[in-house]
Amino acid sequence: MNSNLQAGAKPIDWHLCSDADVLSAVTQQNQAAFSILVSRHYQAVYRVAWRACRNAADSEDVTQEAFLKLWNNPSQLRDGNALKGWLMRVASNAVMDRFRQKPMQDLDTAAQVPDATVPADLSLDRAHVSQRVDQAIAGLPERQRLALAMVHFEQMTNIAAASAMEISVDALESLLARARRALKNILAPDGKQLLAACVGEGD
Amino acid sequence: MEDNIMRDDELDKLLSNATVPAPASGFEQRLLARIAPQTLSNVIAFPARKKTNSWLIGLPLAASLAIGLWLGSSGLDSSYLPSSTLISDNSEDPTSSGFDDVAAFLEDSLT
Repeated sequence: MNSNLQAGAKPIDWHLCSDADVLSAVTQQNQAAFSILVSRHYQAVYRVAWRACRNAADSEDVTQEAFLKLWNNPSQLRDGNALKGWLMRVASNAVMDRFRQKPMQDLDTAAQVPDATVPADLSLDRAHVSQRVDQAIAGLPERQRLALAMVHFEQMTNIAAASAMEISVDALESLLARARRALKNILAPDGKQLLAACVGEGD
Repeated sequence: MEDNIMRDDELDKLLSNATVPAPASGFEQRLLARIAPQTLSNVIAFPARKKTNSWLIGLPLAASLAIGLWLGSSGLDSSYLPSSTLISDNSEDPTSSGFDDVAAFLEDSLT
């Protein structure tokens, strides 16, 4: 494949190439190849960043930062097939840097401000369930949010997520276990109503 | 108390209802648009110099230098000056000193 990339005689359909092949073209500052990598991964990176930041502007900044880092120095990624994990690592590091730089915006405490109790007579709909679950997730420490976002929402393996967060698999599993325990505690008081609302919507 | 304990499958069911965030429309284009300026910013582009024929400047300069050397060596320099111009010649000035006088001064200071 790489020989085909170097030949350059025919236009290459980058959509058919693996991340590793496309990345080898990106190292030669090929913008068309880079746009393929962006379209493949930007939404996942954005979702993880959003889970951690809970803020569209910061999430976009973090996502852009990750991809610009890739564009400016693609050779630092040795295994092109590990691109998604690498992007997640850069994004999660950027998120952690932001929390360190802007402690006032740390959502660990801010997320606990809204009153999460639901009146018994309130008819819960799916939007309310989503909002309630989002609030609960936002109440987790940022590393637990990142772990949950990667493993639960992006279906990354524990090994890939641990690598992305630069921690051991045991540490990742510990983060996940604590996150789930905390979510259960947060959601338990109105858990039955929330679940009933899910069922009522056709689940 | 038991009713308040949530099972794993129940938690998973609730998590499946979490918001799936999506970037604002046009985000991908904005991201890609940032790549082009990044590419250019890595290289400082100097304005291209106008290509001039160096002979056009070099030839008069060389001729001027040659004429100057010729005039200086042939002793004709004073003939081009006005007659009223007084050229100072203080080579006989006894007060002047130079490197040749250094030894004499040193001898005077030692004695």
